[in-house]
Amino acid sequence: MNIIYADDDKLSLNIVHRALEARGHNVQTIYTGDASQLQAHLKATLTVENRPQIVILDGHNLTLDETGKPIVDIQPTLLMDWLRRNGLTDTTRFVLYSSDDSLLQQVRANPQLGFWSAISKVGEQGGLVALMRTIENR
Amino acid sequence: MNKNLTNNLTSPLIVKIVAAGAILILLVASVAILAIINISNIKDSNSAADAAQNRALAATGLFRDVLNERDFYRDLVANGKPSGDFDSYKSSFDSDIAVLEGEGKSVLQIYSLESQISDTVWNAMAATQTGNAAALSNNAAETEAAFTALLNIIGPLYQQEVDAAQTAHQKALDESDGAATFMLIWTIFVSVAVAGVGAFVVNKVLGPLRELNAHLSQLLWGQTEHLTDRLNLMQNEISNYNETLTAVRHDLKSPLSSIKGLAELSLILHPELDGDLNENLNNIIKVSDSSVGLISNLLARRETHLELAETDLNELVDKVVQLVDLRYFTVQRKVEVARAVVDPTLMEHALLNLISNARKFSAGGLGVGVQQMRKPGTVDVNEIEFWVWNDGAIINGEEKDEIFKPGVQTSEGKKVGGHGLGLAIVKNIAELHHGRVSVDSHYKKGTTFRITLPVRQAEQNEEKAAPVGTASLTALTEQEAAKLLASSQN
Repeated sequence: MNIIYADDDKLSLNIVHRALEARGHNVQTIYTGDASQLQAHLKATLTVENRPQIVILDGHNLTLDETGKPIVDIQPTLLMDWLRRNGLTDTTRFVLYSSDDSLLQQVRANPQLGFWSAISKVGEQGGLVALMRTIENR
Repeated sequence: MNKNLTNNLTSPLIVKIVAAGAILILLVASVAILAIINISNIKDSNSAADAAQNRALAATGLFRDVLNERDFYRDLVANGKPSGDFDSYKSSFDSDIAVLEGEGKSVLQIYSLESQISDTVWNAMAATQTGNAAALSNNAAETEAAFTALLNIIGPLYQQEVDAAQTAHQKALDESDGAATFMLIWTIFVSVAVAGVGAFVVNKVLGPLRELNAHLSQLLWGQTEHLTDRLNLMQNEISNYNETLTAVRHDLKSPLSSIKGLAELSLILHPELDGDLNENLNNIIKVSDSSVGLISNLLARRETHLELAETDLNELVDKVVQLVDLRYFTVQRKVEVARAVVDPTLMEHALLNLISNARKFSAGGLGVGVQQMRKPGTVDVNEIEFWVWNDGAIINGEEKDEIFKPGVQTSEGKKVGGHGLGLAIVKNIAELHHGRVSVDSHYKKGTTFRITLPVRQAEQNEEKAAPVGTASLTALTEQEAAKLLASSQN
């Protein structure tokens, strides 16, 4: 599968990238520590030709609003909304991969937000293995 | 309540009230007393006038009686037989002269002359009966002279009594008029005095009560504003605390996530690992999970539950309006939605903040209401909007974007004080309800703050929708934390 993973934690990016690649997936990572990169990158990346099947988002993405102003620490739900408005979510599934329990609960309780799954980075029910199982058993 | 106010309600006021009461009684009593005195004087004057009139009448009668007696005597002497009834004239004379008793010398002279005349007349009458014509004219000259003398005494006496009667009558009239005028003036004076004293008493009694009422009102509204500020501060402290906890939680969990991820990656990349290395990696994962569990328990954050209930919005608005001092404002109230499912406690707090703010900035006009709305792009009524309006200073465009942030105040807001937390709290409450806040502010239209919430059904009784940084905290006790730590290390 083609997978995009966006996170502001470089170690996490490295771990997930290596794990998924080891399982034969094509993984593109995006460091979201730079406020201006994610939205533009996703828009450029999410094309018909190389549209990923899975986009994994961390809870602390930095993104821009419609005016181009950086929104610090906004929930990925707004990004999802932006992607939906731009018709970029038709065949792509979005996974929340976060250590923020409240964000995870919010996403799980509200499927209309557009996330296919919400996996915790920590805890017995979470982690890398749980993420991979979710992706591969989709 | 200050001492001055308390003192006013004790003895000095009582003394003043008693004194004022005494003055009132004296004034009213004076009217009665003067009325009695005047009536008594008038009665005396009238009695004197009546007595004088009786003497004048008696003098008139006396005059007439003497003339009748003289005519009788002359007829008797001239004709030899009586014409009339001398006894009746004499009797009348006696009655009349009795009235004039006490008039001194004149009456004594009258008595003497009358006695002389009576004797002569009776002798003449006896002479007619005996036919002694010569005896008829005995003492005629002296008798005529006696009549003349008698009339000469009675005449002035009569005039004197008539004059006295007229004088007494006039005096009675004058006294009556004077008394009436005096009573009228005095009554008017007393009425004015009573009204003045009454107004003084009422003012003295009610004045402290009004002052007390004003003090209590100030105290009440002041406490309500103070309470609102304290609630907002508490909310902000809780939010800050929760935000700090969120950051701490994230900072503790991130390295654990990496530790577990590396262990898992190792197992994924090297499935051939077995024995101690495999066991150690699995233990790392286990300990990482336990540590995360411990962190979660120690810093347990209960998601904020909206305690939703079908709420009477008229009662909600009325309750909040009553908490704010709007006595000197023109308030418009327009609640078009009877009931809605909201968290009534939180919505009360939100409306209290908006109305308190509106009051601070209003130029005299203020409005609050609830209406149904349609979400843009939809057909059905699916939102309710709480709005608060005021006609005060306008919020400019730049400030509108910032004022919902904690600690941010408009330029006008900084003048009236506060902590700049109220609108941030309102925004928080709206978002808890999955709603939003907004503000419109235009010259001549005033400023309107709106809380727009989705319409909910009554069965949605529990909501777990806490945006980051807004949850309340339930921490473990030291014993519970120690117990968890011990169990994770086993």
